[in-house]
Amino acid sequence: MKSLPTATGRECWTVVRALLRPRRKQAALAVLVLVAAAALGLAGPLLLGEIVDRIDDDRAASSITAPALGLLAAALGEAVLFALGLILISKLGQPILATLRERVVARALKLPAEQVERGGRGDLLSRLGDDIAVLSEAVVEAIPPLAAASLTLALTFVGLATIDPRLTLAALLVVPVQLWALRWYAKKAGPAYAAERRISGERAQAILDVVGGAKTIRALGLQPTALPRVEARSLSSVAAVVRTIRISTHFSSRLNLAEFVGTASTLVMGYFLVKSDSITVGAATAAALLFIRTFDQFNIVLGTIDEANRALAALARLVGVLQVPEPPPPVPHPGAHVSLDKIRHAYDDGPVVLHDVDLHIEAGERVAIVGVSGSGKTTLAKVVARFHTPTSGTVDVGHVALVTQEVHVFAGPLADDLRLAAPNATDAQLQAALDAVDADWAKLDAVVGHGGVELTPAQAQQIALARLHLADPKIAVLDEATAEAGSAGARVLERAADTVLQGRTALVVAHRLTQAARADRIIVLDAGRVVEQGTHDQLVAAEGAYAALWHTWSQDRA
Amino acid sequence: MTGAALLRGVLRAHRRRVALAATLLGAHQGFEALVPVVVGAAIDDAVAPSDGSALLLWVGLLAVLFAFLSTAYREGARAEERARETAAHALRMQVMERVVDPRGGGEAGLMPGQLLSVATADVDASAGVIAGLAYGTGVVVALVAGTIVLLVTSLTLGLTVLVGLPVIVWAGGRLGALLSRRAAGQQAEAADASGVAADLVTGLRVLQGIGAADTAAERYRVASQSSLRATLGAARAEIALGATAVLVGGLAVAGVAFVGGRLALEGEISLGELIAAAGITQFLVGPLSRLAWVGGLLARARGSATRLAEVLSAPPAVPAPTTPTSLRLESPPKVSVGTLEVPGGALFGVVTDAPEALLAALARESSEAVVTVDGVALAAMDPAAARATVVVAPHEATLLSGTVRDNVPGAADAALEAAAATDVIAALPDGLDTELADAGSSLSGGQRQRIALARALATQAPVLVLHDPTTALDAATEARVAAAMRQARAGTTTILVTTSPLLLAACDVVAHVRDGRVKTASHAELLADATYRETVA
Repeated sequence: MKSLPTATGRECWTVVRALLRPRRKQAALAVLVLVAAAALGLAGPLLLGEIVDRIDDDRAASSITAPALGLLAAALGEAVLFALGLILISKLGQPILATLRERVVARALKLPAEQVERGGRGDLLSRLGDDIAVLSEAVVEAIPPLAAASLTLALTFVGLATIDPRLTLAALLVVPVQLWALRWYAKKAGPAYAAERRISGERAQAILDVVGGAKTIRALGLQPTALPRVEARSLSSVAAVVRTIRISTHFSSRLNLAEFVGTASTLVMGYFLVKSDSITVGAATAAALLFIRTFDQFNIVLGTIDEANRALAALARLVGVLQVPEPPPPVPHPGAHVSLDKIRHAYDDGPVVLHDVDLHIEAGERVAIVGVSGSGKTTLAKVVARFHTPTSGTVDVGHVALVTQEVHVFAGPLADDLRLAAPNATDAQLQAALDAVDADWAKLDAVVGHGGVELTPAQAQQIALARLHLADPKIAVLDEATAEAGSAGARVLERAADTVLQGRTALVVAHRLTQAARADRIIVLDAGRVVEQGTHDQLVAAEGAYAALWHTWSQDRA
Repeated sequence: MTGAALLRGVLRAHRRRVALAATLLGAHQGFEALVPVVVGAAIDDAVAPSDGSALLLWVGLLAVLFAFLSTAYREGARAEERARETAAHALRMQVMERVVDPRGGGEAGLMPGQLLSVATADVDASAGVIAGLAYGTGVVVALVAGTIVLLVTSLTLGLTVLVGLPVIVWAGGRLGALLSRRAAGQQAEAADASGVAADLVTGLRVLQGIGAADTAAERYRVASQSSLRATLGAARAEIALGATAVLVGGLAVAGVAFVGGRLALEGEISLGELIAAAGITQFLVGPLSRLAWVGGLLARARGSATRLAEVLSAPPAVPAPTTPTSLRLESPPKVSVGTLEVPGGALFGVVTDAPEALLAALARESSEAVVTVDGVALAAMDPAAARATVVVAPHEATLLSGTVRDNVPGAADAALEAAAATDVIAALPDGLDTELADAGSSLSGGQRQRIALARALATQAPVLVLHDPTTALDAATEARVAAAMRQARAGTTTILVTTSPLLLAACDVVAHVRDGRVKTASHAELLADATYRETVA
C-alpha cells in the first residue's frame, strides 16, 4: 500500500469537466458578460484616438465633449459588467469547489487508515487544509482576474482590427514570443509547483510531530533530534518556493520581451500606415494605447499565474485522494454471529501474521483473545471489524463496531461528538449512553476536544464506549479499549465496557486478564496461531500458555 | 512583544534584502510609468511627421527601457521572495524553539492543529510584511513618478490629475467599502471548515470503528456549505473593490481626455504629451488598485503577527532563576517532592490519587510543589539542567517521525533489552533503521510503548520518572520489563508512578499517597491495605 497519489492534469480535467457540465449555461452567461465588459474596455483607447484625430483636425473645443462623455459611459458600463461577470464566475466556481472538497473529505474518511498513515497523516491534513485553502483562494483571487485579463488580451486584437487589420497582424508578432515563453513555462512550472506543494505537506508533518510531541521532547531533551528535522524540511520548502519564483520571474522577463515586440511593431506598423495615409495619427495613437493597456493585464496574468499554478498542483493532490478506490462496503449479514474460516493475513509483503485462523462466535457470546504482544491479536480483531480484508480466507460478520485504545474526542459540544455514532439520537438517549459508561463528569453541552476542555485518556475512552453504545452494533470488538488508563482508570472502563457489551456478541482483546476471565471463552494466540481455547477455569486447569500468563498476572495482586 | 514590534524586527533583520527588493520594484514601476511617455513622444516625433530615423531612435529607446524594467522586476521579485521566505523560515524556527523550550509553557494554550497553523499560515502572513513593503514601495514610486511626469507635461493637467485622482480614488474607496461592508456581514457565520476536516481525519480510526464515516462526511458538508456562503459574500466584497478600481481609472482617463484635449486644442500641450498623459493615467489605475492589495497584505501581517507574538512571548510554565545553582552529583541523588522523600539509588514506586500534579512538579511544568535533588531545589537550577537531572517520561508514548534509531538516542542495547523492545525491532523490516511513518502510528500501542520506554531508559538520567510505562503490555512482557528495570537503572534513582502490581512488586519501596497522606512500605506490605489493594488490582 503506497501513500496517497497525485492526479495527472488529464485526470483533474475530467473531474472538473464533470463538475462543470450541469452548470454549462451559467458558465456561458458568465463568459458572455465578461466578453461584453472587455469589449467596452476597448472603447476607451478607441475614443481617445478619436479625440486625438479631432485635435489633429483643429476642430472646435466642444467637439471633444461627446467622445469624453463616451469614455465616461464606457468606464461605467465596463465596471458594472466586469463586477457582474466576476460575481457570476464566483457563483459558479465556489459551489464547484465546495462540492469537490466535500467529495474529497467524504472519500478521505473512508480511506483505509493504514494508507493514510503510510504517507503521514500530515500529508492528508495538508491536502484537506492547505491545498483546499490554496484552491479556494485561487477561485476567488486568481481565476476571475485571469479570465478577465485573458479576454481583454484576446479582444485587443479584435480592437486593433477595427482600426486596421494590418495593425492586428503587426501585434500578432507577440504570439510566437508568448507561445515560446508559455511552452518553456508550462514545462518547468508544473513539476516545480507540484514539488513545492509536496514539500509543504512534509513540512506540515514535521511541525505536527514537534508540536504534538512537545511535552515528550521537553521531557526527554529531544530538541537536538526534533528541531533539525523541522529545520531541514522548512529550508527545503524555502528552496522550493525560491525555485518556483525563479521560474515565474524568468517567464515574466520573456513576456516583457513580447510586450516590447508588440508595442514596437504596433508603432512601426502605425508609422507606415500613417505614412501611406491608410490611418490617421489618432488611430495610430489608439492602437498604441490599446497595446499599452494590455501591460496591466499581463501583470495580472503574471501576478496570478503563480497562484493559479499552485492551485493546479493543489487540485492534483485533491483529485489524487478521489483516485484511491473506495473500499467496497462490507456486506454484513443480518445476524449477530461471527464466522471466520482459514484466515491468513500479511501486511503488504510482510511476514504472515495470521495462519489459518478459524473463529466462530455465536450470537451473544463473549470471546476474549489473549496472547503476548505481536501474537496477532489486533490483526485478528481488525479482520473481524472489517478494517482489514485478509489475504485469504472467508469473513462472515454482522453489523460490527470497533473501539481501540486510540482515543480522539471530536471538537465541539460533546453531544455533537456522540451524535456521530447516532445522528438521530435524542438528548435523553445521549444522556443514557453517558450514564451507561458512568461518565458522571460529562455534560452534553460542554465543548470538548480541539479548543475546548481536554479530556484525560480514560475520560476520552469512556466517550468512545458511549459512542459504541449509541452506534448499537450487533457485534462489538474492543481492542485493548481499557488499556490507556492504568489500573485505577482501567477498572472504571472495564465496568463501562461490561455494561456496553450487554446483549451484544463481543470480541475483546485484553491484556488485563480479569477482563478475559469474565469472558465465555478465551482464545490464546501465539505467533498468529490459535494455541488454546476454552473457559478461564478450563485453561487454568490445563496449565498451558494461558495458565502461565494468569499466574504472572495475579501473583502480585493480592 | 506586540505584533507590530515583531514585524519591525522582521524588517530590521532582513533590511538589506528588503531595501534591495523595494528599490528594484520601485525602479520597475518608475520605468513602467515612462513607457507611455516614450510611446507618446514616438507618435509625436516620428509617426505624425513620418520621420523614419526618429522612429528608429524611439524604438531603440523603448528597447532599452524594456530591458531595464524587465531586469528590475525579475531581480526585485526574486529578492523580495528570498527575503520573505528566509524571514518566514526564521520565524518558524523561533516558534518551534519556543514550543520545545525547556522552560515549558510553549504551547501557549493551543492545540497541535492550531500551533501548526501558527507555524505555517501565520508565519507566512507575518513575513508578508516584506511583500507589502517592497511592492508598496513600487506602488508609491509609480504614483509619484506618474504625477511628476504629468506635472512636467502640463501644470494644469498635472494639477487636475493631482487633485482629481485622489478625490475619485477616495470616493471609489468609500463606495467599495460600502459595498464590501454589506457583503462582509455574511462572514460572521463562517465556520472553519478546514478545522472540521482536520479534526475528523485525526479521528479517522475512531470514526471508521463505529461506522460513522458517512455521518462525519455529512457534518463536514454542513461546515463546507456555511463556509461557502461566507466566501461568496467575501468574494462579492472583493469584486466590488476591483470594479471600483476599473471605474476610477475610466473616470480619470475621461477627465484627462476632456481637460487635456482642450489644452491640446489651445496649443498648450502637444499631441504626444496628451497621449502620454492619457497613457499614464491609464497606467496609474494599476498601482492604485494594488494599493488595496498592499493594504490587505499589511493588515493580514499585523493580525498574524499578533497571534505569533502571543506564542513567542508565552509565559514559561516555570520561572527561570536569574543566577542558577549548579548541582554536582557524585552518587545516586536523593529527591524530595513536597512530603515525599525518595532515597538515592532507589527504585521507588508511587501510587497516588493525584499523579498529574506530582508529575508536573517533577517535570518542571508547574512550580506548585517544591522539588529538591540532593537538597538543591530544581527551581534554583537552569531549566535545561533541571530537566536533564530529573527526566520525566510522559505516559503518552509519543514517538517522533524518523527512524527508531533517531528516537532512541544512542540506541543503547541495554535500554532496548530492558524495555523488551528488541523483539519489536526484530519484527521491523529495517530494524533500528526502519522509518516510523506518522510518528509511529503504524506500530501497535504496545510496540510504541516499549520503544518509548527504551528511549527513556537510554537517557541514563540521574533521576528518571516513569509514568505508567507498561499499560499497553501483556502480563508476560510486563513481567520481563519489571525484572530488568533494576539492572537498567543501577546506580541511579528511579521513580515509578504506576498502579501496576508487577512493577510495584519490583520496587525497593512504595509510597501510597491518598488525600495528601503518605504511607511508605513495600508492595507486599501495602497489599494489606484494602484501598491500596483495590487501587492496584
